[in-house]
Amino acid sequence: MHIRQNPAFAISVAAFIDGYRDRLIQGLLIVGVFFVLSTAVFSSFSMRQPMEVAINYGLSVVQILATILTLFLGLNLISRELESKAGHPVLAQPISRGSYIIGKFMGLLMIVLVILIISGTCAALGIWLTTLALDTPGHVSWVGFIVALYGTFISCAVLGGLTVLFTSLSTSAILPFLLTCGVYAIGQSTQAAKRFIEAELAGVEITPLVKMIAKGAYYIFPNFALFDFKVQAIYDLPRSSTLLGTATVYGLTYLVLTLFCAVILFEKRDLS
Amino acid sequence: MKRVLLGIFLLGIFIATSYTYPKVQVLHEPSLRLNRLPPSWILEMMSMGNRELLSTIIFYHTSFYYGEKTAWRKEEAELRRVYDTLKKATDLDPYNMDCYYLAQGTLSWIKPAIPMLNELLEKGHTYRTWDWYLPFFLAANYYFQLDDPVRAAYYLKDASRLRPESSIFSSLTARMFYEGDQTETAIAFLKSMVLDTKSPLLREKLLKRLRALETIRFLEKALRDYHDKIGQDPDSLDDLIRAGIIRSVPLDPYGGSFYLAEKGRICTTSKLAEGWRKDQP
Repeated sequence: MHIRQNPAFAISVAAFIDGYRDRLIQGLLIVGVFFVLSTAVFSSFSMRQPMEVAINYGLSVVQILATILTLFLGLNLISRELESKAGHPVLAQPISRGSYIIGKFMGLLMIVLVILIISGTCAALGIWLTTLALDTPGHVSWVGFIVALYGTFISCAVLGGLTVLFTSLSTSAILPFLLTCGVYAIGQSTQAAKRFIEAELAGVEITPLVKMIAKGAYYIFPNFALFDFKVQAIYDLPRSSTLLGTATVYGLTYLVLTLFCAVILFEKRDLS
Repeated sequence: MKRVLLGIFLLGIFIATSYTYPKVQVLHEPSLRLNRLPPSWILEMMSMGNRELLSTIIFYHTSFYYGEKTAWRKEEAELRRVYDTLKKATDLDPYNMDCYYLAQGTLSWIKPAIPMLNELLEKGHTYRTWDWYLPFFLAANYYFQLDDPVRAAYYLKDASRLRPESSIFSSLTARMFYEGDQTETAIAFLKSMVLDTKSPLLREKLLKRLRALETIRFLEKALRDYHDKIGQDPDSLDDLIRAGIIRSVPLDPYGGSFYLAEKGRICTTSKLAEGWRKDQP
């Protein structure tokens, strides 16, 4: 497809191919495959719930792997290209900077999707191997498993959006890395912090300022805990379509807002 | 040639070290420690969205620690640490059955630990609403360690509801209600179980226990009638016959003989158990 016809699409395909060629993907995927195939060994130490442990292990490894890859690939896609000035010829073309950012993000999303499909298949294989190793394997909720992977995908999409936002801010790769890690860590903790504060445990005194900061962080930073559907998949608990829908809408809204800010910041950035 | 020789030399050292180091390690390795964990909410934050995985890892660590303690010292501080660790693991993942199972295995034989163990199992029972093991563990703790057959009976009732195909829970529940001087509750429970049971074999077992408990209820009423008539408690069941309240002592469906035990309790030599004669000298 000619770049003038759909520049964002062309950039996304180029970013996908670029990301795929990156040895980081292959290396981490081999590690991921190894981890996931070790599911049966890890779950064999369980006393009462080897199947649940196998699903837990598989989904957690997929999540950790996908998060790390999203973070590094997302930072590499734009930062490296701008640092080495390899992206300048592309930006010299008659395409908007917004299309460049959106194209890069879509490419990242495609890579994440491929990673999730491959590692998810490995995890499913690991779980299936565990069922073969057990005399009385428990029930595996494959629908719950796919829903949990979907949650991981939304989580990675939001994280990818954040990496794109922070790489639009800075010329070096270190600052966006630190900022993304920080926001991810806060986003993973805000729900636990809010619950802890609201529980008002005896003997634990929290000042109003801390309460205010924690509540503010809960609403400002992305709540990554909302995209976590692992527990429902592990124990085959009832799934709420309302919760799933809310998480999807929340994730998409947050992502669109993040990309919107990234485009504005990148348009104002002096690349010379 | 030099490189090949160097490669062979290095490989030889590697193989020799791989063979020797496990033996040296066993001699010098410090024993496993169960360190104090940070509060649950900090652990949750540290898990970065993998609470269930962290819970499993904490459980594995505790289980390896416990497994290594072949000469388990049963010190209170050590047990408290096992409990704390498992409690935090269940705070992260309240559905983690392994933790409850290990807690029951390690702490259930220590009487002072029972209240906190039961608290932990209660949490599991709240979340794992489909699991009959947890009410069963609770019933065992209340019955054997806290001498509370009525509380035990209520938990066993839960277990039998969750595992209706098992006759043991239903009949044990009735027995515990009876031991807690709640014969009426035991009979009502058994009647409801008989109505719900589809298996002919299980129904037969429940009906047998129901007949035994109805006989006990009949004798308990006879004791109250004797007290009303004579003004004092009888010394034996034969006194009831002599006073004309009953014609004869009814037969125990389990083949035992009813007798009057301490505190005016109706007991039977069968202890309402199948195959009780095998235990007799």
